Amino acid sequence: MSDQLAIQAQQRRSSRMQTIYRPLILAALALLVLVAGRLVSESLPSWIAVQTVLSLSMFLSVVAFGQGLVMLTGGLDLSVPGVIALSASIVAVWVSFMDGNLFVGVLLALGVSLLFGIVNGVLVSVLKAPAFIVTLAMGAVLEGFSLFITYGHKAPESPELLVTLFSGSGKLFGIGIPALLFFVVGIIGFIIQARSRFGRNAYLLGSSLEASRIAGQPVNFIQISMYAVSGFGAGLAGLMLVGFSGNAQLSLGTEWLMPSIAAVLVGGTVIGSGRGFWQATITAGLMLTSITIVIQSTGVPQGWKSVLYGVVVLVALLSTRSDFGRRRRKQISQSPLQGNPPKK
Amino acid sequence: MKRNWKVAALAVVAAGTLALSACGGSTSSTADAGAASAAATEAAAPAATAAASEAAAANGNPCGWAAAPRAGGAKYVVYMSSLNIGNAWQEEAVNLGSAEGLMAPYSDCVELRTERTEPDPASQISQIQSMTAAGADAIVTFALSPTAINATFKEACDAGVTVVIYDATVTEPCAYNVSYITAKPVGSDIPFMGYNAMAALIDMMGGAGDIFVAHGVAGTSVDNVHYLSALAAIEQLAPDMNILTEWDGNWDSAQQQKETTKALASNPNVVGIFCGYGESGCVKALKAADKTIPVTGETSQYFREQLLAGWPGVSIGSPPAQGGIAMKVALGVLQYGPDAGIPHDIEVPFKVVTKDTVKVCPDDTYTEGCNVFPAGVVGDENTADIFNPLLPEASLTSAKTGVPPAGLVAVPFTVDELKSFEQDPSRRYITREACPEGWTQGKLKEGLDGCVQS
Amino acid sequence: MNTNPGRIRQTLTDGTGRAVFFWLILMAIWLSLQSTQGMGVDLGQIQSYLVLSLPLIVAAIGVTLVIIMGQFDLSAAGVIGIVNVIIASTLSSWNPLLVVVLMMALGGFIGLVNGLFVILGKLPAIAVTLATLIILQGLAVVILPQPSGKIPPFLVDGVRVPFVALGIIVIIIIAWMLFKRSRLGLYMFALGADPEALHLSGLPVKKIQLKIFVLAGALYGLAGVFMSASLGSGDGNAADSFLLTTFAAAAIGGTAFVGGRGSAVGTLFGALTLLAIPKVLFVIGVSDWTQKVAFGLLVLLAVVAGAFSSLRKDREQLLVAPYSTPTEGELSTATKGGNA
Repeated sequence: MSDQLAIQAQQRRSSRMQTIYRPLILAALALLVLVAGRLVSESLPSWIAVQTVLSLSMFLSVVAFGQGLVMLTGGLDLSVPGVIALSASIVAVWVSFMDGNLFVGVLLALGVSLLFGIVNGVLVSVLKAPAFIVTLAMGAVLEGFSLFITYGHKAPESPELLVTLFSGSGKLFGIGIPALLFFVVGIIGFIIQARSRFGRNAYLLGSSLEASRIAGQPVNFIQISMYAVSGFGAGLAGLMLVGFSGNAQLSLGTEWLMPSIAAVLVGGTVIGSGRGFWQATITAGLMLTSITIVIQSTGVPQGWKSVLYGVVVLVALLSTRSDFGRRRRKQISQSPLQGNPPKK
Repeated sequence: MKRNWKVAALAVVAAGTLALSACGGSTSSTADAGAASAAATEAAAPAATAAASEAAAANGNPCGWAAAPRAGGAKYVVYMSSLNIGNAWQEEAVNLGSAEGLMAPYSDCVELRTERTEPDPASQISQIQSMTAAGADAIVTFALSPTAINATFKEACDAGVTVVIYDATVTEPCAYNVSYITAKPVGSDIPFMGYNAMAALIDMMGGAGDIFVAHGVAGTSVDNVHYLSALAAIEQLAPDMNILTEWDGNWDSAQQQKETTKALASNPNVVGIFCGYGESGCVKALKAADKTIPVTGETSQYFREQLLAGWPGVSIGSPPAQGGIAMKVALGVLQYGPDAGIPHDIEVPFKVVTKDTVKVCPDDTYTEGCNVFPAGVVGDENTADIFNPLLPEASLTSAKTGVPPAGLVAVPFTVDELKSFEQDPSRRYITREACPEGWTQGKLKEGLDGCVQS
Repeated sequence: MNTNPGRIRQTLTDGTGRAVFFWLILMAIWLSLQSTQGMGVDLGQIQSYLVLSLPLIVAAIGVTLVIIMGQFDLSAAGVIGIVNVIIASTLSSWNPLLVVVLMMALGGFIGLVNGLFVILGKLPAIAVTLATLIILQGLAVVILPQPSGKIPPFLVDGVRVPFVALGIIVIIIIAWMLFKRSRLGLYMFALGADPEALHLSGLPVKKIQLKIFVLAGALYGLAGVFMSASLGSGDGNAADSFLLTTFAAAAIGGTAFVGGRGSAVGTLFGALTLLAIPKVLFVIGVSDWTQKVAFGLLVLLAVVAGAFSSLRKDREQLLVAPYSTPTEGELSTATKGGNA
């Protein structure tokens, strides 16, 4: 009994650690990194650098939102690059070759992304196939589809409005729109994940599938909705990135998958534990983006930059970890990357 | 417990099946293979024309070419292969190559098959082996690695397949390299894209200032050749110039844009960018930051449209025409035979385009001196360098679809013509990691390891 | 094991049996179609296919061990890459057997580092190994700035000798049969099935985890040697695809990603399946965009079919024996009520 009380007390402590201190520490680290960037570049820190960090982190956050939810409930979504490519291709082809309405194109792209998210979710939750491999194979299929719809066409170009919104050329109060959108994404994400019933379901499901089931929650539905949101988020990211890059291409999303997973992990989400917080994920994104900017501006050869980045990720993991030793042991059993633990 | 042993037994049986199927297959199939493939060819291309059969009368081979088709069919089986990565350059190159095999006079002699490879060495190795087994007479392909596929290319050569590699080179001596990497651009006395591009950048910047260098993929030989020769240009022409930072742009405009954006955040005072393939990303990032500074990039439509609008820059890079040229080299080897003297190392000339020399291509077909398509005809990442003096039969239609417009006729190479494009032996070491006889390894003045006459 | 009607069905609901079955179908399509096309089939081609499969097989088995233990290891591609460039850049004239031992030791050492971070640092394995992967991929490019170098000829020619690859595969199957009955093997399954029970039983859990990480690392090292032998040269980027294909092989082989269930033999045929798919697509004549779609669908089919049948099996077992955990039939640990 006293053991249980101790666990509860620890949970409260670590919950504060997660929701308040860790995001603050990460955001402070992001700033610190930019300031320390002075050592490698005389132009750091600067207002431009802050804006760049914010806007690149915005794209990262949109990808990481769904990814974080899926990881919270014990899965992983590797179909993200495929969904991004498909959504980008759909809107670009719809608008530039079929002279379709942009609004309809956006709805179409988001709808298709949502649909494939749902398919992922059904395969994982109903058929109990491992999320890792289902989403990986789905990613290949979607890349094939996006090759198909852009095939024989000239590389499709982005609609003007998306370019203005997301390439950084459009400005509001002198600040690039993507940088401002970071805060919008942050707030919306927070409301969904921390304040809505949907978000609570994710936590409940992640922390104990059995308990969710016993509590009469529609477990499969909740799990499918996580993948649906991840698909939708990736589709949204596809629309943003096609605006950022100016044209749709297969590789649009590949460079965002690993950073999004890294942001979720450095943000302290433990896969399948129901523990992890949006504010920590996006501040981790800020910090990692700042670090890549500073590392990139050092004069060391390419390979060493990669080594440096890996070491930084490791150090960040160590320095921001909260002690879950006791809890983690329990969670190992239902952890890595399958929708549900085996029924017993 | 019992079940495990059952599974184990099944596994061992399967392993056995593997061995058996191998032996069984080898004895059974070869006999009827020829007939089957002949039937397949006929079905695929009913127009095995009279001209072809007349020519065949000369030595009994299709079109009277040097050797009989390996699979014994009525046509030579030729594979054209590129990477399945949805990249505009790769698609143009493979389409130009495919179109070549569908044009007269080749269409009567060749059964063309187009393949795409997933971008990892194991996939490419597996696919080359499949092509060899499927009776390929020639394989024209983009190689993922200069060394990793070598053993497989050697196996193919030993089986009698003509292997031609375009753009990136391989060190396997039996394969033909058709590449711009060590060539001199048109109008320059100095070889290497990197050197020429950097020299042009230095010129535009007035010989001083700080720059960014955007790599393609670190760890590849093509990138290394560009990079080392560019460094040599800095050392020789503007030793005071500084490289502020470098990055890996993955030969991808989305990645280049992301990295340029990052670099501009930490070094906004940059005055020039040496940008690898994907340069449209470099320019887009600069535009978003409201900076107009000299950029060197490769051959994309977007970049040349910017030059046309007056952007200070030089466009110089890999021509996708190499795909079509490599196909013609392969067909030349089949036609004249491997001993006719077609060189194994062929350099493809490429263009240097600045805002003063950029010129719009009016037609679907080759026009001397043009280097950008009219706005809206192709996408940002396509390139007008499908047109090359060595590929006058290229057309935009071919580059887009892989099928030539009716009436276009291929212009076969003669052996002497190809000999005049043979790589200078001094640059052999770069592409083959070995020097020809009578030459030893030494440093070139462009900063790379090459060969010197001993 | 309760009596189960129909042996075939029983084999098919077993992960390994299903992987073998799926592979046999693909092989049948490949070989039968190819024998009617072009030059037919010869022994050399099967031999090359096996040689090409070896690195994936060995690496995927390493990944499988860690999954069975209930953890996740992303570092395989990194280790394979670094082993490849080290052999090509510095060890090309060394004694080949020494090279094998050294490289397995290097892989084991990297596994040790991974394990120590996971156990002492109390970090999630997937995060630690992601970092190691990034570091190792960077180091590979530092060591070998461009593809070059030679691999000891003994290795390159050795794996190509007829039946050597087949022999290695048979040895792998036998080694697995022995390993999974060894003490470490049993603990590995138990750890994945129910870590809490293992803790309570007072076994040295950390030591077991560490040993599995080291063993997996050594296997990646060996996979690196096999990849070097099949490529014949060094290339810092050549191993990148192993990051995902190793897991795909494990999944097709019927490994449960929750831990506690899986088999190296299943993974072996999973890897063979993955490399047979392109062969099948080639003989069918699928290229361009359909190639990606067909590949993805075939992998989905293999995995979902597996998931579906084990779902049915779970249901049946739930009816028959709700309080026993059938983990490959090796180890029945009583479950505590409530949470898994």
